[in-house]
Amino acid sequence: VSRLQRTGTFALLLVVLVAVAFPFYWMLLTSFTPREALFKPPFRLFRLDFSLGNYRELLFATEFARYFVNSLIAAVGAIVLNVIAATLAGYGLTRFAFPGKKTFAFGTLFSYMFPPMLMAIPLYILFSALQMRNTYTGLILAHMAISLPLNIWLMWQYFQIVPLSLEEAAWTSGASRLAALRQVCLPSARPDILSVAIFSFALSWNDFTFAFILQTDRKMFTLPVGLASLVEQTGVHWGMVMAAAVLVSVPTFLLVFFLQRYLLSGLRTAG
Amino acid sequence: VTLPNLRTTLIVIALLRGIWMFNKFDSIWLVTHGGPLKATETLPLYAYRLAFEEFDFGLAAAACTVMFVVLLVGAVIYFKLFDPTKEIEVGR
Repeated sequence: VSRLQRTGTFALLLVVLVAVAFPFYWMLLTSFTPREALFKPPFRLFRLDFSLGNYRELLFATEFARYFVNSLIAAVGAIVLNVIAATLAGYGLTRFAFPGKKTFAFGTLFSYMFPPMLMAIPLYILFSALQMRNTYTGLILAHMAISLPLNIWLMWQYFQIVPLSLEEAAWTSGASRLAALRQVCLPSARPDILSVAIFSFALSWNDFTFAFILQTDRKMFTLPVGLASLVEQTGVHWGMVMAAAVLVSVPTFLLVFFLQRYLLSGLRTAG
Repeated sequence: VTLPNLRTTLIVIALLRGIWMFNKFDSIWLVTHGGPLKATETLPLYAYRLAFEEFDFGLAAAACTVMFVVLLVGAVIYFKLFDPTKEIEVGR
């Protein structure tokens, strides 16, 4: 029975794997297919006429590179600010006693559930008044609004397992609170900080709604919005769109590949 | 034996996914734009259309408020099932 079961499990996993991996494979294949050949039968699962034409066109004939840089700036900004804010907030919430902590805990989890659209429309009005639409600052702040609650939650949980005595030892040798935080707590917090960073990156990199509503100037488009505009603008040049999709997923793949160990430990704490 | 133990977690996940799907904007917009003839127009798309195609921000805000109420109901159930103060020390 166990052997049959195992075969069954493997078969099931194989089906799931194919279902998940096939679109990626198809994206890759399409991106390397020359434009003329794409809609001409026969359609094959494997083909030999590889060409980089789609990539060349994407990089030199469209503003893709610009969108890429915009996305990168927004993501890096979101990562840096999230790490700083979440670390300090988590530290403060564990180490200091003040009223309303429980409300704060509920509020944090509640705002984590907020859909982007609910915030995007008010933010549009607010940023219009502040002239912060089409700025990196505005976009980064909007992305933080979505990612910061869970990040605070992660760091809050982390600081609870750091023994206070470690810090007290640092204080007696003359370290200030911030210095103790930096030199005693943070070195062992690396996995948690990395999961904060990865989560911030993923949200910012994949965000469509905020960028779509707040960044109305073509020059400030991020990748997801830029990609959508490529679809509409080029009369759907699928080879090029797929090439763009490949390039968009490369940073994510690299990140997950190199940091999967930390990613898993972060997932475990996030529940 | 495992499944009954997972029950609360499963319900919480289903609830959160449900709320997020209810408020989903990006995929629906990209795939169908709410069409054909508004057949796939969900509440967030409606709010977006009110705000940025008809420029009626008041009505859009009202639609958002309705979304918020639904979210609130979800949150109440969520906090009934999952008590955040169990995972962190609140102090008082």
